[in-house]
Amino acid sequence: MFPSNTRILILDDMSTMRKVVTKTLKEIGFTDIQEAADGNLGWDVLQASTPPVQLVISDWNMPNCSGLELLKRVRADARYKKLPFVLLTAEAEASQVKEALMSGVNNYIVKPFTADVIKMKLEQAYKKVAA
Amino acid sequence: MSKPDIKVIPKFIEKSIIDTFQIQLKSQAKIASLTMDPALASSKRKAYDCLSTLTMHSTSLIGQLSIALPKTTFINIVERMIGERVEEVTSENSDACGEILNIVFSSSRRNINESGFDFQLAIPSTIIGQNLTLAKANLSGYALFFECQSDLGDFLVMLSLRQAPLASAA
Repeated sequence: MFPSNTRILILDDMSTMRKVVTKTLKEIGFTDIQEAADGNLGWDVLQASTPPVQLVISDWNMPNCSGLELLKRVRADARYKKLPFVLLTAEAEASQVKEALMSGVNNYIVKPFTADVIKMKLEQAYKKVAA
Repeated sequence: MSKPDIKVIPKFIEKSIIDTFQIQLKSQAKIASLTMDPALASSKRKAYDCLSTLTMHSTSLIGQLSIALPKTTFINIVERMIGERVEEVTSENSDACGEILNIVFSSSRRNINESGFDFQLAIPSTIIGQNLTLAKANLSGYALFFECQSDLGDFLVMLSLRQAPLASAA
């Protein structure tokens, strides 16, 4: 599992959902959590963050730059090719999941979710990254 | 191919309301009554302080799905979601209402579309104010009021649907 001091970047255009995910991650034990409201702002955080972001949890549907668009940008940049990236979505249609997997997502979380589900999804993502 | 049955839609929305409360809010919700008569629904209707709505769009049907929360229910829900004290419905925290609607719609959409429909993605809009009411605007179609009770308070969900213009012309 990711260590508790992993720097996590949460992306969601809805401030309440960012708070929900932050609260859930703190319940799991994570302590270093950054937030941004869309993919463009998230990209800026990724570039500026010291220490670097070690895990991204991003909403799928956001204005300006969606979670999937950010994922593609991240995977196209050599610096972030292996950055663990988890998508959070209320949609889980097979075609969407396939597109996300083809784009290099490490896992996806479907809303509604519990802390146990997030923990399990992060454990799965960690195993994929560590393999 | 047989025409999909509109009756599956409220069934999946009801399931999604219950699941969303149980999983996301760790709360029990139930549909206290389902009525197609807005007058009956309004006789028990409370004043709502936060209302989110989204447009449902498919090849054969168009309509709206809305959720209306009284202030006490809204505050209980947001406090449960974020784990912080909430005093008022504000433009900043009102996105919680839209997010609940988004989760209800998105998870029911998956099941509805597996039943033969092709509803598209939708984005909720949220209105805050005092004494908001949900009126039946879709007089030519099908409207259903879900009077809901939960341990976080009562709330109302309204589904209205009618045949899409292109579908009715076909």
